[in-house]
Amino acid sequence: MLRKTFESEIQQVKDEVLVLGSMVEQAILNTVEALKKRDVKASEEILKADKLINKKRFDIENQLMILIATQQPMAHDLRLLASTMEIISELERMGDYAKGIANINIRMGDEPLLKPLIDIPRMAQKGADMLHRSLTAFVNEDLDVAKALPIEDDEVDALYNQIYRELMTFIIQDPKNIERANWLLWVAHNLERVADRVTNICERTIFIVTGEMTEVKATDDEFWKQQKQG
Amino acid sequence: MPKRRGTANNLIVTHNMQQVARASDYTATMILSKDGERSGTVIEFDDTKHIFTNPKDKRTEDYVTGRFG
Repeated sequence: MLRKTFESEIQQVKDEVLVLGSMVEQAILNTVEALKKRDVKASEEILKADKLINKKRFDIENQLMILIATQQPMAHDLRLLASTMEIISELERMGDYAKGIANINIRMGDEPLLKPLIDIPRMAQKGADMLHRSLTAFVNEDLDVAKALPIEDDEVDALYNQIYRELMTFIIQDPKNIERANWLLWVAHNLERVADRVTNICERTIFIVTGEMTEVKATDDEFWKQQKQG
Repeated sequence: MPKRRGTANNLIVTHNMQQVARASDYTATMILSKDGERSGTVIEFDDTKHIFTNPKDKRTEDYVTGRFG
Protein backbone atom coordinates (compact mmCIF):
# COMPACT_ATOMS: atom_id res chain seq x y z
CA MET A 1 0.00 0.00 0.00
CA LEU A 2 1.30 3.42 -1.06
CA ARG A 3 -0.20 5.25 1.88
CA LYS A 4 0.40 2.74 4.67
CA THR A 5 2.62 5.09 6.69
CA PHE A 6 0.20 7.97 6.25
CA GLU A 7 -2.69 5.80 7.35
CA SER A 8 -0.85 4.63 10.45
CA GLU A 9 0.01 8.28 11.26
CA ILE A 10 -3.66 9.21 10.90
CA GLN A 11 -4.51 6.39 13.31
CA GLN A 12 -1.95 7.75 15.77
CA VAL A 13 -3.56 11.18 15.61
CA LYS A 14 -6.99 9.64 16.22
CA ASP A 15 -5.60 7.79 19.25
CA GLU A 16 -4.16 11.04 20.59
CA VAL A 17 -7.54 12.75 20.14
CA LEU A 18 -9.10 9.97 22.23
CA VAL A 19 -6.49 10.55 24.95
CA LEU A 20 -7.24 14.30 24.91
CA GLY A 21 -10.97 13.57 25.00
CA SER A 22 -10.54 11.31 27.99
CA MET A 23 -8.54 14.01 29.83
CA VAL A 24 -11.36 16.51 29.17
CA GLU A 25 -14.06 14.02 30.17
CA GLN A 26 -12.27 13.38 33.46
CA ALA A 27 -11.80 17.12 34.06
CA ILE A 28 -15.55 17.74 33.63
CA LEU A 29 -16.51 15.00 36.09
CA ASN A 30 -13.77 15.85 38.60
CA THR A 31 -14.44 19.58 38.63
CA VAL A 32 -18.12 19.07 39.50
CA GLU A 33 -17.20 16.46 42.13
CA ALA A 34 -14.77 18.96 43.68
CA LEU A 35 -17.48 21.62 43.73
CA LYS A 36 -19.99 19.21 45.23
CA LYS A 37 -17.56 18.36 48.05
CA ARG A 38 -16.29 21.98 48.24
CA ASP A 39 -12.81 20.54 47.84
CA VAL A 40 -10.60 23.49 46.88
CA LYS A 41 -7.44 21.37 46.62
CA ALA A 42 -9.12 19.12 44.05
CA SER A 43 -10.10 22.24 42.09
CA GLU A 44 -6.50 23.41 42.12
CA GLU A 45 -5.57 20.04 40.61
CA ILE A 46 -8.09 20.71 37.82
CA LEU A 47 -6.25 23.96 37.02
CA LYS A 48 -2.99 22.02 36.74
CA ALA A 49 -4.65 19.33 34.61
CA ASP A 50 -5.93 22.03 32.25
CA LYS A 51 -2.34 22.98 31.43
CA LEU A 52 -1.74 19.37 30.36
CA ILE A 53 -4.91 19.47 28.24
CA ASN A 54 -3.66 22.62 26.49
CA LYS A 55 -0.26 21.06 25.90
CA LYS A 56 -1.79 17.91 24.45
CA ARG A 57 -3.93 20.03 22.10
CA PHE A 58 -0.82 21.88 20.85
CA ASP A 59 1.04 18.59 20.38
CA ILE A 60 -1.78 17.17 18.26
CA GLU A 61 -2.03 20.43 16.29
CA ASN A 62 1.67 20.18 15.56
CA GLN A 63 1.31 16.56 14.42
CA LEU A 64 -1.52 17.64 12.10
CA MET A 65 0.50 20.49 10.62
CA ILE A 66 3.37 18.12 9.84
CA LEU A 67 0.98 15.64 8.20
CA ILE A 68 -0.63 18.37 6.08
CA ALA A 69 2.76 19.73 5.00
CA THR A 70 4.36 16.39 4.22
CA GLN A 71 1.44 14.33 2.90
CA GLN A 72 -0.63 16.95 1.02
CA PRO A 73 -3.92 15.29 1.97
CA MET A 74 -6.86 15.42 -0.43
CA ALA A 75 -10.56 14.54 -0.34
CA HIS A 76 -11.47 12.39 2.69
CA ASP A 77 -7.98 12.73 4.20
CA LEU A 78 -8.14 16.52 3.89
CA ARG A 79 -11.59 16.66 5.49
CA LEU A 80 -10.40 14.39 8.29
CA LEU A 81 -7.29 16.42 9.13
CA ALA A 82 -9.05 19.80 8.86
CA SER A 83 -11.90 18.53 11.05
CA THR A 84 -9.52 17.05 13.60
CA MET A 85 -7.92 20.47 13.90
CA GLU A 86 -11.37 21.87 14.71
CA ILE A 87 -12.26 19.04 17.11
CA ILE A 88 -9.14 19.44 19.25
CA SER A 89 -9.96 23.11 19.58
CA GLU A 90 -13.48 22.19 20.77
CA LEU A 91 -11.96 19.80 23.31
CA GLU A 92 -9.57 22.41 24.62
CA ARG A 93 -12.46 24.84 25.12
CA MET A 94 -14.39 22.14 27.01
CA GLY A 95 -11.36 21.80 29.26
CA ASP A 96 -11.58 25.55 29.85
CA TYR A 97 -15.18 25.15 31.02
CA ALA A 98 -13.99 22.59 33.59
CA LYS A 99 -11.28 25.05 34.62
CA GLY A 100 -13.91 27.80 34.92
CA ILE A 101 -15.92 25.65 37.32
CA ALA A 102 -12.76 24.93 39.35
CA ASN A 103 -12.09 28.67 39.58
CA ILE A 104 -15.63 29.27 40.83
CA ASN A 105 -15.12 26.68 43.57
CA ILE A 106 -11.84 28.34 44.58
CA ARG A 107 -13.35 31.85 44.54
CA MET A 108 -16.31 30.73 46.66
CA GLY A 109 -13.86 30.30 49.55
CA ASP A 110 -15.64 29.30 52.76
CA GLU A 111 -19.13 30.14 51.49
CA PRO A 112 -21.39 27.07 51.59
CA LEU A 113 -23.25 26.00 48.46
CA LEU A 114 -26.62 27.67 48.04
CA LYS A 115 -28.20 24.24 47.68
CA PRO A 116 -27.10 20.62 47.48
CA LEU A 117 -26.03 19.80 43.92
CA ILE A 118 -28.32 17.33 42.18
CA ASP A 119 -28.97 18.45 38.62
CA ILE A 120 -25.52 19.95 38.08
CA PRO A 121 -23.76 16.55 38.53
CA ARG A 122 -26.41 15.09 36.20
CA MET A 123 -25.51 17.69 33.57
CA ALA A 124 -21.81 16.86 33.98
CA GLN A 125 -22.48 13.13 33.71
CA LYS A 126 -24.62 13.56 30.61
CA GLY A 127 -22.16 15.96 28.97
CA ALA A 128 -19.19 13.66 29.66
CA ASP A 129 -21.12 10.67 28.33
CA MET A 130 -22.10 12.55 25.16
CA LEU A 131 -18.50 13.66 24.70
CA HIS A 132 -17.26 10.08 25.00
CA ARG A 133 -19.74 8.78 22.43
CA SER A 134 -19.11 11.68 20.03
CA LEU A 135 -15.40 10.87 19.97
CA THR A 136 -16.05 7.17 19.44
CA ALA A 137 -18.28 8.18 16.51
CA PHE A 138 -15.49 10.43 15.20
CA VAL A 139 -12.86 7.70 15.35
CA ASN A 140 -15.17 5.09 13.79
CA GLU A 141 -16.67 7.65 11.37
CA ASP A 142 -20.09 6.51 12.53
CA LEU A 143 -22.59 8.67 10.68
CA ASP A 144 -25.67 7.32 12.48
CA VAL A 145 -24.35 8.16 15.95
CA ALA A 146 -23.05 11.55 14.78
CA LYS A 147 -26.51 12.43 13.50
CA ALA A 148 -28.43 11.08 16.51
CA LEU A 149 -26.28 12.39 19.37
CA PRO A 150 -26.99 16.15 19.05
CA ILE A 151 -30.67 15.51 19.83
CA GLU A 152 -29.58 14.50 23.35
CA ASP A 153 -28.40 18.07 23.88
CA ASP A 154 -32.07 18.84 24.58
CA GLU A 155 -31.81 16.83 27.83
CA VAL A 156 -28.89 18.98 28.96
CA ASP A 157 -30.76 22.15 27.96
CA ALA A 158 -33.78 20.95 29.96
CA LEU A 159 -31.61 20.41 33.05
CA TYR A 160 -30.12 23.88 32.59
CA ASN A 161 -33.58 25.34 32.31
CA GLN A 162 -34.61 23.58 35.52
CA ILE A 163 -31.53 24.85 37.40
CA TYR A 164 -32.09 28.37 36.05
CA ARG A 165 -35.66 28.47 37.36
CA GLU A 166 -34.68 27.02 40.72
CA LEU A 167 -31.90 29.57 41.19
CA MET A 168 -34.21 32.42 40.19
CA THR A 169 -36.59 31.26 42.93
CA PHE A 170 -33.75 31.47 45.48
CA ILE A 171 -32.93 35.00 44.29
CA ILE A 172 -36.56 36.13 44.50
CA GLN A 173 -36.86 34.67 47.99
CA ASP A 174 -33.83 36.55 49.27
CA PRO A 175 -31.61 38.91 47.25
CA LYS A 176 -28.71 37.97 49.54
CA ASN A 177 -28.64 34.73 47.55
CA ILE A 178 -27.75 36.54 44.33
CA GLU A 179 -24.00 35.95 44.43
CA ARG A 180 -24.16 32.27 45.36
CA ALA A 181 -26.95 31.66 42.84
CA ASN A 182 -24.91 33.41 40.18
CA TRP A 183 -21.94 31.14 40.82
CA LEU A 184 -24.06 28.04 40.33
CA LEU A 185 -25.67 29.52 37.25
CA TRP A 186 -22.22 29.96 35.71
CA VAL A 187 -21.38 26.36 36.56
CA ALA A 188 -24.58 25.18 34.85
CA HIS A 189 -23.92 27.46 31.88
CA ASN A 190 -20.44 26.00 31.42
CA LEU A 191 -21.85 22.47 31.45
CA GLU A 192 -24.54 23.44 28.97
CA ARG A 193 -21.85 24.73 26.62
CA VAL A 194 -19.98 21.40 26.90
CA ALA A 195 -22.98 19.62 25.36
CA ASP A 196 -23.23 22.29 22.63
CA ARG A 197 -19.63 21.64 21.69
CA VAL A 198 -20.33 17.90 21.48
CA THR A 199 -22.81 18.85 18.76
CA ASN A 200 -20.00 20.65 16.92
CA ILE A 201 -17.85 17.50 17.08
CA CYS A 202 -20.73 15.51 15.58
CA GLU A 203 -21.08 18.06 12.76
CA ARG A 204 -17.40 17.59 11.94
CA THR A 205 -17.80 13.81 11.87
CA ILE A 206 -20.72 14.17 9.46
CA PHE A 207 -18.52 16.42 7.30
CA ILE A 208 -15.66 13.89 7.29
CA VAL A 209 -17.98 11.10 6.13
CA THR A 210 -20.24 12.97 3.69
CA GLY A 211 -18.32 16.11 2.72
CA GLU A 212 -21.38 18.15 3.65
CA MET A 213 -21.08 20.95 6.14
CA THR A 214 -24.39 21.19 7.95
CA GLU A 215 -25.61 22.53 11.25
CA VAL A 216 -27.41 19.59 12.84
CA LYS A 217 -28.93 21.58 15.68
CA ALA A 218 -28.88 25.29 16.43
CA THR A 219 -27.23 25.73 19.83
CA ASP A 220 -29.30 27.06 22.73
CA ASP A 221 -32.55 26.79 20.77
CA GLU A 222 -34.18 24.46 23.25
CA PHE A 223 -33.28 26.59 26.28
CA TRP A 224 -34.62 29.82 24.79
CA LYS A 225 -37.72 28.05 23.45
CA GLN A 226 -38.50 26.87 26.96
CA GLN A 227 -37.89 30.37 28.37
CA LYS A 228 -40.39 31.83 25.90
CA GLN A 229 -42.97 29.21 26.74
CA GLY A 230 -42.58 30.29 30.38
CA MET B 1 -2.42 30.27 -17.70
CA PRO B 2 -4.36 32.42 -15.18
CA LYS B 3 -3.94 35.41 -17.56
CA ARG B 4 -5.83 33.58 -20.29
CA ARG B 5 -8.74 32.72 -18.02
CA GLY B 6 -11.98 33.71 -19.73
CA THR B 7 -10.39 34.19 -23.14
CA ALA B 8 -9.21 30.74 -24.10
CA ASN B 9 -9.85 27.13 -23.14
CA ASN B 10 -6.83 25.11 -22.14
CA LEU B 11 -6.88 21.37 -21.81
CA ILE B 12 -4.03 19.71 -20.00
CA VAL B 13 -3.56 16.00 -19.45
CA THR B 14 -1.25 15.37 -16.55
CA HIS B 15 -0.37 13.23 -13.56
CA ASN B 16 0.72 16.32 -11.62
CA MET B 17 -2.05 16.72 -9.06
CA GLN B 18 -0.69 19.96 -7.62
CA GLN B 19 -0.71 21.54 -11.08
CA VAL B 20 -4.29 20.40 -11.67
CA ALA B 21 -5.40 21.74 -8.28
CA ARG B 22 -3.70 25.10 -8.83
CA ALA B 23 -4.46 25.81 -12.46
CA SER B 24 -7.74 24.25 -13.54
CA ASP B 25 -11.42 25.10 -13.13
CA TYR B 26 -12.72 21.65 -14.05
CA THR B 27 -11.16 18.23 -13.81
CA ALA B 28 -11.88 14.92 -15.48
CA THR B 29 -10.28 11.81 -14.04
CA MET B 30 -9.44 9.08 -16.53
CA ILE B 31 -8.49 5.46 -16.17
CA LEU B 32 -7.49 2.47 -18.23
CA SER B 33 -10.59 0.46 -19.13
CA LYS B 34 -11.18 -2.83 -17.28
CA ASP B 35 -10.12 -4.95 -20.24
CA GLY B 36 -6.93 -2.85 -20.43
CA GLU B 37 -7.54 -1.91 -24.06
CA ARG B 38 -8.82 1.66 -23.84
CA SER B 39 -6.89 4.30 -21.92
CA GLY B 40 -8.55 7.62 -21.12
CA THR B 41 -11.92 6.32 -19.97
CA VAL B 42 -13.48 9.23 -18.07
CA ILE B 43 -14.72 8.11 -14.66
CA GLU B 44 -15.58 11.49 -13.16
CA PHE B 45 -15.91 15.10 -14.28
CA ASP B 46 -16.57 17.98 -11.88
CA ASP B 47 -15.39 21.34 -10.56
CA THR B 48 -11.75 20.95 -9.57
CA LYS B 49 -12.57 21.99 -6.01
CA HIS B 50 -15.03 19.10 -5.73
CA ILE B 51 -12.61 16.59 -7.20
CA PHE B 52 -10.04 17.45 -4.55
CA THR B 53 -12.33 17.85 -1.55
CA ASN B 54 -15.24 15.47 -2.06
CA PRO B 55 -15.02 13.30 -5.18
CA LYS B 56 -17.95 11.03 -5.93
CA ASP B 57 -16.09 8.11 -7.50
CA LYS B 58 -14.08 5.84 -5.20
CA ARG B 59 -11.37 5.48 -7.87
CA THR B 60 -10.98 9.26 -8.07
CA GLU B 61 -10.80 9.42 -4.28
CA ASP B 62 -8.12 6.71 -4.22
CA TYR B 63 -6.13 8.50 -6.92
CA VAL B 64 -6.16 12.03 -5.51
CA THR B 65 -5.38 10.76 -2.01
CA GLY B 66 -2.40 8.80 -3.30
CA ARG B 67 -3.79 5.34 -2.62
CA PHE B 68 -3.85 4.32 -6.28
CA GLY B 69 -1.80 5.10 -9.36
